[in-house]
Amino acid sequence: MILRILTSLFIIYSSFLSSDLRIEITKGIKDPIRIAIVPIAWNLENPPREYLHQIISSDLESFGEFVSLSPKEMLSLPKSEQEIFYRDWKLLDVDYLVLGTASRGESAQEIVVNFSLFNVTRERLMKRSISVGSASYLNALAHIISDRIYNEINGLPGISSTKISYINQNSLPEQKYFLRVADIDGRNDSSIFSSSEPLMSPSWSSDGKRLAYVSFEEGTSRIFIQEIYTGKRKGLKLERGINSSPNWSPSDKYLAAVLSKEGNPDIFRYDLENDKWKQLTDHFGIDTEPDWSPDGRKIIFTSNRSGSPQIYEMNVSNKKIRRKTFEGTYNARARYTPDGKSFVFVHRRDGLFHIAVQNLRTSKLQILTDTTLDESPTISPNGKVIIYATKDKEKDILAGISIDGKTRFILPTNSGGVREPSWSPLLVSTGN
Amino acid sequence: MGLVLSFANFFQIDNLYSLNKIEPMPAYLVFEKPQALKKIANKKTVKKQIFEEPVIASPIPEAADTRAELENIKVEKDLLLKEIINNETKSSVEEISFFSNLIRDQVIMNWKQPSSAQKGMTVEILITLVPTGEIIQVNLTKSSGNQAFDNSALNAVQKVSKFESLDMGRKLFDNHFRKFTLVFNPEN
Repeated sequence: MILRILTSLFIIYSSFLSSDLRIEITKGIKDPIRIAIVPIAWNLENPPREYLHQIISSDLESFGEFVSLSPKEMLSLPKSEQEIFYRDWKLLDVDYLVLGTASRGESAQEIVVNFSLFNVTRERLMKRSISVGSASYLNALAHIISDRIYNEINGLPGISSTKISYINQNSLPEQKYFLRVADIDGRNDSSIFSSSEPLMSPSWSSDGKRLAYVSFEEGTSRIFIQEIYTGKRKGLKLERGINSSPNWSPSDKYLAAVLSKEGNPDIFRYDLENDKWKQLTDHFGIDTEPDWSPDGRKIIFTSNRSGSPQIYEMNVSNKKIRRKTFEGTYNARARYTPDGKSFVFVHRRDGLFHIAVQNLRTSKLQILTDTTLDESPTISPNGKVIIYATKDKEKDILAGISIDGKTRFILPTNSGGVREPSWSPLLVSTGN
Repeated sequence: MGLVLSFANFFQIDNLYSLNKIEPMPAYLVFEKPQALKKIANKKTVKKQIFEEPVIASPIPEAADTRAELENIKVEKDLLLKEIINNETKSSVEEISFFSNLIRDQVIMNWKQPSSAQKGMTVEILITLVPTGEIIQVNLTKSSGNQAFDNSALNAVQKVSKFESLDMGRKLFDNHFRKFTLVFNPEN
């Protein structure tokens, strides 16, 4: 009897002793990923001057997420998977390795790059890819390769192939305004329109082929749409008063903009198919700076209807409007993040203007920049980097910051002042 | 038979049986000396002592036959058993916590989260170790649905490859650390 009781207690007790242990890991290290790009071997008699591996390295290092190994530090230069001695790379603390060869394509102008990405830690091939580009413009090919590497490792689209559009103002020899487009690495900066009268508010179409902007060339503000690659221009139906702040819908069927024809600035929607304006907000205050949500269902905008500039969100279908910012007396120029969950904007605190980000669901606000005269934030199509306008001494410049606030940079731009940057959408498919 | 004797010692019911010596048994429960109803500082030495002592079998007299006595024994036994479990589990819980933290720190040091990492993503990896701390098997038991995130966790585990300083008792290792699950769940 006792024996039975004791035995059952013993069984219960012993099962008490072993458990399925679960250990939770809630954070990691913020160190950049270390990547080694072995100089790509050219199978050509006259290899081009550009070094692909240098452009790829510099693309990946642009925003602080990667650090690349210089070829000088490499212990070996493998040309194929068989030649990889993983121990060499582990010694150098490398996380990923890229090997590639380049050869002539079907035509003399075509270059084909065959590259492979290896996970050094797990000693395995991650991705093999063939990328084709023009010999006369190898940078574009390098950017495509960088984006594919970025995407495979990070699970997000790379932004090396994107562009930035902005307004450049020069005072000498005479007052002139330029609408410029440059690759995100600063190359190929070119003017796509210039005028002796002010140009403002460039906005990229979702298909990346057109820019909408405001021009005063006719003596009054008017919104124009220009095809980037053909130069073809078209003016939207002109209304009296202010015509400004154009912003494309995700479908490119509409543009949100600001008109003051009804007496005070309100948000209107332009239908590109039948050239008609439709009023969306109707308030005696100033409603301006609209931005379409990524799903096309909402528009976020700035309004002073409560007495000071604040951010509001409107449901396009039922016109219902909700105020979003309640901290501080100046919140303006909101732009949705690509996932639609937050927005970046200009927030004034203690008299200083910073770029901040706020979560739409939790309303949690976070100031990102410590520069103090910030305006016009624009966010990269993968949501990782913000470029904005600010002042450096007296000069108008463009600066950038990663969304986690850890990496900052200044864009090298030409003479004169630069303003109102607008980040292009993803321009090249990075699939396969 | 022998089991009953040992329990008797444990509960200091010496007057029921006449035994001269402590009777160690190869049963798990009986690895402390009777006076160890309080925590033992160094279990290892105790173990050693026990194994050095020979096992003695003695004739067992009839157990108490009144119901009341049986009830008393049962109640006393329950209470004392509870106390032992508490003491035993308390030290184990502290040890488990200590070594879990060691493991956690070593994984954190090697985990580079990918850009796409978001709060709410969870990946679970079942780890199998040998007593040296070396990882001999890695199984992805629950994917986060995001390949880059899963890969970053697998990379972290691969980078660790061998956990340092996991010098714990064999029992603790077998029960909790031979196989355990790492749950990667960023909180930012």
